[in-house]
Amino acid sequence: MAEEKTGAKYVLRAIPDKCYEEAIEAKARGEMIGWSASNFPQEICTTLGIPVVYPESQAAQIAAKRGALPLLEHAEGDLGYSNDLCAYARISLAYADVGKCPGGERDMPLPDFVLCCNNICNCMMKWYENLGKQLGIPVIMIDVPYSNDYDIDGKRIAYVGAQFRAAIKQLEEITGKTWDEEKFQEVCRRSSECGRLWLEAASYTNYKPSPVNGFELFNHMAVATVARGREESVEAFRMLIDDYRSFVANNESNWHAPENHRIMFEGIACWPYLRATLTPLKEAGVNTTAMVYGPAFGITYNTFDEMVEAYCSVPNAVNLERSVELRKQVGAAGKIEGGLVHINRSCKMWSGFSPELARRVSADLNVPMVLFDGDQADPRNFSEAQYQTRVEGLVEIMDSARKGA
Amino acid sequence: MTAIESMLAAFEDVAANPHAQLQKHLDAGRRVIGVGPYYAPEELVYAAGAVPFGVWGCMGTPNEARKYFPPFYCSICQMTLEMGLTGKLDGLSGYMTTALCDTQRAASQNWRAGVGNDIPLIFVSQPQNRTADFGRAYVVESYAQVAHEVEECAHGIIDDENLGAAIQLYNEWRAAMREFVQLAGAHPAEVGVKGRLAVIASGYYMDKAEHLEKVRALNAELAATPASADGFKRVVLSGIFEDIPAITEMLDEMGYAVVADDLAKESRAFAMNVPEGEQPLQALADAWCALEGDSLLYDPEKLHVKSVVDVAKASQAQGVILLLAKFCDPEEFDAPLVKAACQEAGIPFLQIEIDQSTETYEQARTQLETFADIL
Repeated sequence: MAEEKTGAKYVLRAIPDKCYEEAIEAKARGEMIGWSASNFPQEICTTLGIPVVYPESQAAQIAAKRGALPLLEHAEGDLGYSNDLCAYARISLAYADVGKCPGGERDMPLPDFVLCCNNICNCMMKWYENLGKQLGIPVIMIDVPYSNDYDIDGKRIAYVGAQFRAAIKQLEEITGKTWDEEKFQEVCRRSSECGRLWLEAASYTNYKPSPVNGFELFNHMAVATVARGREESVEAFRMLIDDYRSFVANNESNWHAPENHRIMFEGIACWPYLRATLTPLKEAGVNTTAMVYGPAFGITYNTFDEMVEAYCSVPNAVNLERSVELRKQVGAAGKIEGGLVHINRSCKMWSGFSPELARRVSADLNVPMVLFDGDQADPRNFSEAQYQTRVEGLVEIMDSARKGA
Repeated sequence: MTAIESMLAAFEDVAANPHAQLQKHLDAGRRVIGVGPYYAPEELVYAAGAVPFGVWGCMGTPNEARKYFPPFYCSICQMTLEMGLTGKLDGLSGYMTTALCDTQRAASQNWRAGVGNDIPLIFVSQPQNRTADFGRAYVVESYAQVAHEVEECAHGIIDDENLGAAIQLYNEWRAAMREFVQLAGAHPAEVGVKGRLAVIASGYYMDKAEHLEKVRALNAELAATPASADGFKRVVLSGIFEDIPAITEMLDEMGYAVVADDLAKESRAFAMNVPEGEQPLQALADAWCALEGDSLLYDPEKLHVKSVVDVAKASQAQGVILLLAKFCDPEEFDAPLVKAACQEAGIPFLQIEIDQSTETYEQARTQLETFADIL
């Protein structure tokens, strides 16, 4: 009998589809739509009722469906970009040029403006500049200077907050829509609730044994990325939590393998090789019970300044010590015995201090951390053989540690 | 040896031996603070009584730095960390760096992790939204914090008087460097590519006042010498830096003349002008906010791309050579646009990938030979 497609995972899967469909319909009606960085404050566009779609999420989906290569080759060949640049950026710039996916993996309408926020990386700034130039459309940029200090200081809050307000004005001018402060408060409340629920759902991997296949979070994070301000996202995450809660109550799990070991997966997923990165883990009974990538989109706050601070505190915007602390917290909560660190050729920001981060987490939690080479979206930068060897090595060390304990 | 040759030899001696220069400052009892890329407010270091000392990596292979950086990172940052980790920067009382690209962000953290308190990091945070009041307010506050850290490292107090004097000196120095770039472009027979680079590179290691005096003397000699550009292949160098000895030698050997440049370490750095007559710290902030047309800055109009063509036209260059720093995101994003803009303007364009750890440039030789034929 076919499985009834009404469970949380199906509801969650449908939400991003709906977002993209709405944007396509809005564009067809002649409305202006935007392309937005994943960590641009979606609260602004949701309040203004401006449809936006997300190039990072699009690139990830194209890569996951094995459609990246033709676009990467277009970016490198026809457009002349170096293959050293972020694969998301190359896919996106190529898509902006050709206007469709090679196999219809995730089509979305071309934008009338782009919304950039460089809190996750500065590559974003140059990428969006070039999109703006290539398409002849305005760029709205919220600059979040990298913090060398542990805490986000007052000058950043003032600077970034002022940019939020300036972005609202720019969008009002571009789209002719009017800001509604009351609606904004409601959107913020809902977005923050959505973020809180996403974090709560993700925290179910902390149960031992975990009721959740940790890699499943890679699938569900799309909702947290592209639809944080929607009521249906809130409801969908509640459903997901209910599912996970019932798994715990009934001693069930959607990790259909032994849970011999629990690890942290550090970094962005290898989207073209999601199955290839999961399979060796599954075969060895290694569940992923900690990560910061998925939960990173669980942005919570109570006030405007706290919202600004939250966008200044996303992973990649904070310093080494805070990054380490974040991993230690999720690692300890997930009761990890080891970790896999993705040295991601596409992400200079994330991988730039990963070796030191791994050493510190390893030393402080007394668990092995193993590095492997990969890429978030360029299929040419990953070796299944190397990955398998690294996983085997990690499992051996974890086995030895357990025997010695 | 002519007067010009003798002056260039002195510059070349400094440029080739930065460590000796560092030791000279230390022997003179000066405190020295390293200054990395890009557009750092080094006037603060000078005002505090310390010597700003340029640290932009060096030729070599990163070994120790590889424990911190994966391989696919800009060689300037990797080799700077290597220098810090292997004692080549011992004697510095601090290291000032900005964070305008992702590699610099990570490099700042790797520096603190690897070098630590031996050479304290002075982290300069600069806003990319520079034209609005809130951008200016951010940089004023940020530079005030930087000033405090500089004072701690330099063991000196920065006040309006010494900072004002430093700004004046730096403005004069940058003006002299702009003049030198023009004069060198007109006198390639006297100042080859190597000599031109030595004059510029030495400015990163010498006391600015001393360097200014020597550059002015050289400029005077060049101004009194008839132009000698005939027969040379007049090009603009674009990119971050050009200090790759093999490339320099090839350019000289093949009769290239650098008539102007769009290099972050050279003319883009000399372009800054700090307003005089206002509160000095605010003036430094204004200078930052006024920067534009640069791959490292938020540049939605892509003025940088246009500026390369403008520089080439203004200097009557026959071609543009982009020395593309390997793994440099900001430059790699602009590169296809710069190429297209040059082609549209009918300016021959050549792109050569460089980094401080590449040992052979034979492919570049072929590219430069072919390009010379085209010109």
